[in-house]
Parts: sequence; C-alpha cells; structure tokens
Amino acid sequence: MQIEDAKNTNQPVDIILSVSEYLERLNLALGGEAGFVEGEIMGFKESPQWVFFSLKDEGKDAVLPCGLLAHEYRRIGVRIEDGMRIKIFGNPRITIKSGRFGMWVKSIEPVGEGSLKKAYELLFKKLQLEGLFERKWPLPEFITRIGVISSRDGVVLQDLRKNLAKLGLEIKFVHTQVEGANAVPGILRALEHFAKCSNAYDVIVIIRGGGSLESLQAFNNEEVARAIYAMPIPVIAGIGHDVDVPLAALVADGMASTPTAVAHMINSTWDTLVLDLPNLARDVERGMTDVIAGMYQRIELLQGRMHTYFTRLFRAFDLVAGRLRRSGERVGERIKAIREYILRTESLLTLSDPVRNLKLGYSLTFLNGEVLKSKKDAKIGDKLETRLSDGTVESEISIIRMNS
Amino acid sequence: MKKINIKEKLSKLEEIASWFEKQKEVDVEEGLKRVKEGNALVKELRERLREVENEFEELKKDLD
Repeated sequence: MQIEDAKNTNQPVDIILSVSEYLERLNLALGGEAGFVEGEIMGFKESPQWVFFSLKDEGKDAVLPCGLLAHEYRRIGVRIEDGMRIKIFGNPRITIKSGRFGMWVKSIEPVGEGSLKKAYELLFKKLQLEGLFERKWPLPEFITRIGVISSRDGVVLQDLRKNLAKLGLEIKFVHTQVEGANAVPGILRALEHFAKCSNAYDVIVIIRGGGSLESLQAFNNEEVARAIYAMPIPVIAGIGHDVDVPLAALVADGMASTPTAVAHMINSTWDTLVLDLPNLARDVERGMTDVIAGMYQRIELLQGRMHTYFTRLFRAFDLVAGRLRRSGERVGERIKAIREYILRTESLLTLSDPVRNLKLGYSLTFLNGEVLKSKKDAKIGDKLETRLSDGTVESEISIIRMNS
Repeated sequence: MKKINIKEKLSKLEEIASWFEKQKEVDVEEGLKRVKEGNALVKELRERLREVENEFEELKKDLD
C-alpha cells in the first residue's frame, strides 16, 4: 500500500525503507521489464546448481549479468560458451541477499550462423561423449503402424504418404510446429504423446524439410535429442539438412534426409515379403521340379540297370549256345573223317580179299587146318583140303616135287 | 485308391536292380520274375510321379 501511494502521488516521501523492502520495491518496478536481449556471452560459468554468464554489446562497454538454475539450463537444451552471440528472454531482478542485479534467463537462442554452429558442436560433443549416437534399434519387420510428427503446413507429409508402398499402412499424424527454436515444446509434447501409447505403433517418424541451422534449431536441441533417444520404439528422423546432420537425426534409430527416403526405409522392412517372396516361390518351384526330374531319372536308371543285367543273361545263353554249336560242328567233322577213313580202308581191304582171289581161280590149301605154304610141311599120304570160291575139295598127296 | 509311397517303391526297385548286379550266375526264372516285378514298379512309379507333377503344375498356376 505504501508503495502504491508513493507511485500515485509521485512525491518524495519521507518513508524510510529497510534494505530488503527497498530491493523488493526495485524488483517490483523491474517486473515489467521482462524482455529479449541480444548480446555476446562472456564469463560463462557452470556449477552443479547454477549457470552464470554475462552478455555484452560488441564494441561498447555494456554488460548484463545473467543467470539460471542448472536444471533450467538443461531444460532449455541449448549449449553455450563464451563468444557466442545469443538472444535471451528473461526477467531482470536484484537478489535480496547479495544486492546483485542480474537477468534470470528463461530462454536462450543462438543468433547467427556462427553461434548456431557453435551450439551444435557443443551439444554434439556432449551427446557423443555420452554415447547417444551409438545405440540404434533395428527397424521392425513389416512396419504397419506409423506415428508421424511433423507440420501439417509442409509438403513433407504428402511426400511421405505418396512414397509409402500400398501395404495397408496406418498413419497417425500429430501436427506440431517444426520451425525455429519455438518448435521445441511442441515436438516434445508430440514425442511424449507417442511414448505413452507406443504399443500402438511400430515406428515413429519425425520429418520436416530442409532448412538453415536457425530454422532447424529445435532438431539440434538437447531435450528433443534426449526425448527421441528415450523413445520406447524405433524413431526415424527425416530432417532435411545441409552440412550438419541434425542431432535429432543422429540419435534416431534411422535417418534419412527426405520424406521419400523415409518412406523407402519403411517400405524396405517389407522387402523380405515383397522382394524375397517371389524368389522363395521360384526356389520352391525349382526345387520341386528338380526333385521330380531326378525321380524320373532315377527310375529310368534303375530300370536300365535291371534290364541291362537281364539282357546280359541272354547274351550268356547265346554264348553257350554258340559254343555248343561250334563243338557240334567239330564232332560232325570228326565223324566225317572217321567215315572217310573207313571207306578208304574198306577199299583197301576189298583189294586184298582172298575170296576175290578165289573167284579169280586162286585157291587155298589147308593141311590140318593150316594153310599149306611149303612142300616141307607136306608128305605123301597127307590129306589136303582145298578151298575154292564156291566150296572145298579134299585130296591125298601122291607126289611131292621140288621146284626146278 | 491308396496313393503309393514313392520312396518305398523306389527302394524296392533299387533292390531289384542291385539284385541283378550281385548275381554271378542269374537264375533265369528268378530273373524274369524280378524283371516283371521291377517293370510293374517302374510303371507305378511313373504314373504316381506324373500325378505328382500334374498336381505340382496346378499349384504353380495358383502361385502365378
């Protein structure tokens, strides 16, 4: 009430205030001076509880002390260091205990390509050190349910839809701002939404078109990067970029630089079915064809084997029969030879047949049953028997003469 | 009609074929008996295989 009075009357008053009362009064007056200040960082200091730095103007002696709680600094998600040009939003305030003036920082935004690049590098190093870029969940097979975080204003969503295979995919779209540093809370909310019902999705897709480091700030924000890393299901980041890959993409499980590439990434999870299936079907077909052909061949072969051996049997018969015939022929020849011999002998015999000689007039004389060949064997009075061709005559020796 | 078991019949045929190969002196009567049996098996197997093939062709049409 007293202060109000003082203001209203605008008169010097004789009220004596305590230090704290006075400082409170100043703070009340400063309360309306919350605002944006842009400057260059100097004297940056970070402790487990606090972060302090000063902002200064270039080329002028003007310094604004700034401070914020360490957890606030983390929440803001932008890394800073001396020399960076930043834009802050904050409340000016005098600390009662110390009487020090300072700006209580609520937001930090790097200004200019150099600062943005610096902030990017600082956070990159930090996240890399923590190993946030290492872990990648593989995309599940046959992605069907897709949660999409993007702005409805861009063409990226259409590009994504257009390039997704016609596989009956379900897309749940959550609109959020994606432009500039202001996009951070919206993106975080969208991620949180999907994290809560992650069972209903196979993959989360964050997409936006390309842009400068400035317009992509939200995707180089620590909180966003950590939220993506912490998602219970795989995240694909499709964030267009020039040189520096957005940190959000680096911590994501899959990354592509265009919505079309994201679509292809999702489509490829169906490859085993779409591409491999015809191959598998062909393999099965070829396999079966081979089996049948092989079977025919085997039957053919077995039949052949069986027949070959049976036929060989007949050949063996033929062989034996041939041998028999040949030996038969040999026997025949022998018989013929014998017959010829007999014939020859017969004619010889015929020539020397005594009967034939008897018929010619020769005769045989026997004495006592023996052919009489010499006069020495005969004596007068012996009875002789003479064989003629047609009979015998008997006679008695009356004279014996010597051949003269 | 009972579908014949290709594998079973095939091994029987195999048996007959090797029987011939094992014989030093084939008993013709026995050989003839076996050839008869073997030929019957070949015929059955070919028929069954043709059936399988046709069935497979049908399935192939379904696939395409």
